[in-house]
Amino acid sequence: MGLVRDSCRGGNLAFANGIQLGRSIVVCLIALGYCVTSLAADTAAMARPGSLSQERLNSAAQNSSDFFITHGNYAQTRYHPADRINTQTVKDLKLAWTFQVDLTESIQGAPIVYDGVMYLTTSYNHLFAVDAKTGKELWHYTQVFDPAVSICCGPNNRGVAALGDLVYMATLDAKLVALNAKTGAVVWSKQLADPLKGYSATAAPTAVDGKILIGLAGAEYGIRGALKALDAKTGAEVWTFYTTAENSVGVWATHDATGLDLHRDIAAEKAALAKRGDPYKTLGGSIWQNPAIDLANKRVYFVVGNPAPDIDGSVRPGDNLYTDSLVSVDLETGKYICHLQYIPHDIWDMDAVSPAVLAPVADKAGKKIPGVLHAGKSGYLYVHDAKDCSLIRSTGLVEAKNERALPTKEGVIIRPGLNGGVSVTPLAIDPKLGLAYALTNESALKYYFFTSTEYPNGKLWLGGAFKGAPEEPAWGDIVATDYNTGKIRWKVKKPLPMFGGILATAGGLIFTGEGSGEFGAYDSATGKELWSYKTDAGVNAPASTYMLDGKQYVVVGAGGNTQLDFKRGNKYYVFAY
Amino acid sequence: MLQRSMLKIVACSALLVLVGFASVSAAQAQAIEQKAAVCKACHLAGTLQSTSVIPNIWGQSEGYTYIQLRDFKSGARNAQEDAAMRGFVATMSDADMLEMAKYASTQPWPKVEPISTDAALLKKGAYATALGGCVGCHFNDWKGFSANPRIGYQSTAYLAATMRQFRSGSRANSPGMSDLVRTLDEGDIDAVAAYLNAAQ
Repeated sequence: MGLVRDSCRGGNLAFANGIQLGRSIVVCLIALGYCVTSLAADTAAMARPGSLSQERLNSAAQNSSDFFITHGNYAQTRYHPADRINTQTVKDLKLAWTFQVDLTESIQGAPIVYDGVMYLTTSYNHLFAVDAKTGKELWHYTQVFDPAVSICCGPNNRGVAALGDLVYMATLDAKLVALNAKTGAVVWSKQLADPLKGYSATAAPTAVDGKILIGLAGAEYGIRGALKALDAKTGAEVWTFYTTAENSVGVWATHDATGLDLHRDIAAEKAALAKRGDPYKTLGGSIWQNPAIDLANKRVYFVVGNPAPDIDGSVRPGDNLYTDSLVSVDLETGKYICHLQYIPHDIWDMDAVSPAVLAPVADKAGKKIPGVLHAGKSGYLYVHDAKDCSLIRSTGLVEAKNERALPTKEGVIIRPGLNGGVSVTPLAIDPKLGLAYALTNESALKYYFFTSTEYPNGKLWLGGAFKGAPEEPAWGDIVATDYNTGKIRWKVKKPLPMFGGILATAGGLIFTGEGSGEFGAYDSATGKELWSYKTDAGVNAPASTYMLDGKQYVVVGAGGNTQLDFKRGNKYYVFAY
Repeated sequence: MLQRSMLKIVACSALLVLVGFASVSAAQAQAIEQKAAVCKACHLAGTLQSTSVIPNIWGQSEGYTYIQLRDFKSGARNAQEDAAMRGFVATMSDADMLEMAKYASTQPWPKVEPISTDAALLKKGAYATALGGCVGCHFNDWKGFSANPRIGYQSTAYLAATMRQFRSGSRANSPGMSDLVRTLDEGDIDAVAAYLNAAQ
């Protein structure tokens, strides 16, 4: 909390027309729950965002100048058309500037950039507007949190969305705030759920068709997860889709989506259901990342996280729909369209967290159809038919051991563990090559089962434990998979588990970072490393790219990672050619 | 020009509001200092006793302190060793608890002389916290945030006692913590407590 106070010190307050109100004035509207500091020494020369229309957002996949959406475009391909930096020129890519914040903690978001302004976030919901050419700070917004906020796995934030004249961020205390993109002033703030009950929000919002879509997190507590659509201008709720169905029982599946035996005691679960009723009210189902949007068919595709409690399934009988699933709903109404559950009745926290990607894919007969890609913590890349969510194929990306073994009181080693195979790390694809790029965490955990209590109202609720398994090797890979066949094309092995995200570009490159601080560019067809730069902390966030005055820029945060304890840092690095 | 005048009005109003807050908060500050004097009789300010089972609460995360006070009152935290605290909170309202938690969070964390210089023990503690993934909820430099407590530079004796209470279930107000601590053995607990006492 000291950081919040620090952020309110000093600086100038300036406005779009260049009026300066003195060096020492700072607007700290702490009573209203936020703090904005605007800085501008030379306002005339400063970049200022124009209005971001829906038409501009719709063109994101074809726009080589800007980076409107945190995962590149509504299909979330993280494939950008800029190609000035390419396999030939990347050797000349140089550091242009860094942006340093007064906070050393995890960075997980990818900035959005348009009209020469970059919006970037850090842990604890600091949001900065920065001149994308010079790195000069335009304004800084800090969330002043509710008194009691419960969060698992890091005080993370995964970025912002913009629409019209506003920029949107979800907060750790489960609010959505809408800010004036030019000044950082709060236009509206909406409480999404009660943080005292374990709800939080760490994903970047998605802005589309006058709505702001945001998922709730907190399933290490007994929340009932949801994807919400709010009116972009007012914050009024348009619809809510609960990620736990009122009838969450499902079909009593005995095997997961890849055919592995789940070792369920269905008779005991049925008895528990008769005694306890449907567990949907505290069943978890976080959303940690953005939904993908099919603009033509007005459909939303997103993945839902683990059931609560994480490991003791006895208190939540049934398949626990729609946890650990790909789900599609109608953009206008939020009504259910289809789902595919990867792991029914998950007792390993082996959930679906990496954002869904939309792309044309080959079906089983080889015919090109609209598809959906997702890579799970289970370590599989799943390829779906977008029409009905059904699974076309899956590819195991990681080495597995004791998959779906039941946790015990003494502990059992399972790989991948809940920090891998593919965590909140987004995929990128190269549609020309038909390759999907994933970062994997090749590590094991020891799983313990302990009978859980009833939900302890806002407290951590696990029903077991997990612990590092030092006897097992750990590393990471960049994996390129042909998503039309399911065949792995290439792998690049890295010494540390990989966590962060990938950017692919029309320059034939992918960019990604490592927990060691390395940030590299690789030939997207072969995986050959072509360029790298050593930062001073873990590069565990996805990169963004943009063009400005004839140069192409690549920006990435180096804040390390809380959960994997990679060295924390406080800088965004911006490279240019 | 209209915009310039409007900005001046907004700026002046903001300053007046801030002045108003300042005068109200001076009286409030005095009152809360008096209330906190009761706490300071046991939870000493300005010093951290690493051999005491009474924790340092000054500079502790606001949400954590509030939830503990709330749990003492509701009985969610109702072990034998909590009897004294349950007595103190009996007459506190929710607003009192929030006020005290906020006050405590704004106080400086005291300097501490770590009591263990046993390099092997500290190394063992660092290893056990790494395997336990403790940093996932207690965050960088063990400073915690909101409902997640700061555990670095805390009293060794308090940390060890608390882990044992979680493990036995006598401290029942965080079943998730009980589960996680159940994977530690006696030696791990002492090592983790010593390591965190020395770790900031």
